[in-house]
Amino acid sequence: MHKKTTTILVSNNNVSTIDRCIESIAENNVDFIVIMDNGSTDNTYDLLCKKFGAIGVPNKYECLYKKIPTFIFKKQKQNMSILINEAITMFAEKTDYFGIIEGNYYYCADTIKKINEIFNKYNYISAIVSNFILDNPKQTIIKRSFDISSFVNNYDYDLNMFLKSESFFKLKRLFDPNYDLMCDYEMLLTLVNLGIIYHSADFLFHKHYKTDENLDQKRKILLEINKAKNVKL
Amino acid sequence: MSNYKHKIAINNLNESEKILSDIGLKLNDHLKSIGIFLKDNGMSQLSFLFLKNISELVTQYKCFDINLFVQQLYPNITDINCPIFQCKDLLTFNGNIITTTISTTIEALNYRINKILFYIFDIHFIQDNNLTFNKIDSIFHNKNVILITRSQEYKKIIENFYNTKLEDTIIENPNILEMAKILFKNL
Repeated sequence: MHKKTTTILVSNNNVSTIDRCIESIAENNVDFIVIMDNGSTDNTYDLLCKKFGAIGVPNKYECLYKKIPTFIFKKQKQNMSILINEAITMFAEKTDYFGIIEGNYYYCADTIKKINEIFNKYNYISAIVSNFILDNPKQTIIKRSFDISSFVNNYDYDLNMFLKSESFFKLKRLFDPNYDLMCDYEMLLTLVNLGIIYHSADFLFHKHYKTDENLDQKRKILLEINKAKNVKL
Repeated sequence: MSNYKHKIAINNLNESEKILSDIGLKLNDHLKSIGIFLKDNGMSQLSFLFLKNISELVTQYKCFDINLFVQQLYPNITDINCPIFQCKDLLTFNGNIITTTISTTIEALNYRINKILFYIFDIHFIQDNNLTFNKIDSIFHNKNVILITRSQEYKKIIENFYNTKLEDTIIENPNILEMAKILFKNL
């Protein structure tokens, strides 16, 4: 039986990277695409409207992109968890698995296929996370798989994860809007009680490498500071 | 009068002989005991999958003597059908061991153990700056330590990083029977 997946893309000032992200989602044959623009100021939403063929800049827009139903929403800047809660409640009945992704990441070639395999194979999983690859210098960002001791010491997950829709609604308060997703420890602990947070061995995400444009200026400032220190010494 | 318990025991013996012959062992060999050394038995993917696999293996195969060694004791996630020991009890353990983290392998190397199979589940220790050269050398360039990973990507990363050769077989999730096969081949 085919199980349906939706990806929720939360973008905030990702003009240069969002196009690649959407294409990667479409290549993975997802059933629904939901794009929530979180009050970006660098015309990402205008670019999205142009890309999907909207007339003007409407707050909501529906279309078929490469035969996949896509939904775009323009929102004022707020906590990401509110947007994700909205998106999941809208599509909960239609889908089995949710993928959450930021605008500066993109999927690997067979991520959705791998995720379906993992979810079908193990019933006791509530969420899937993975390491990711930085694009420009070929380097991998390695994260520790979820356990209590590492959770207490240092926590290093972001919102790029895959959730079961069943497990999401067992979280009574959903994602807490009072906290950032990075710091929503209670959500993760309840997720662990519902099922394991599975750390997949295969890399599921790429991340765009962002070059620092002000690097030369920073270097100059540092040099001046060092010179000043030497003079004092 | 034939004793029915005797019949059951003979059947069990025959079964275990068959299973051991697949791996390349005999019943009289002193190699049946396998130790599994975990960091903790608390809520984590690694410990849960190992404990689940142990309970399956113990019910299915009666010839293996599996002992669980733990650095930190927590309340168990699932029911366990094997004895749990603290890591100090490795002093009296006579067998081969499967380790799961860097800290457990370093600790296991201090005891008198024939072969250690290091199942590299996480590779976050690559970014750890506290690991000294001696520790790395004792693990990754040791003939008594066999190295296995979860995926091809992990294998490539570790081989490039530490300049070693890993086993070709890849075990995505903890599977003690396959690990035992690799252990007994390398003895």
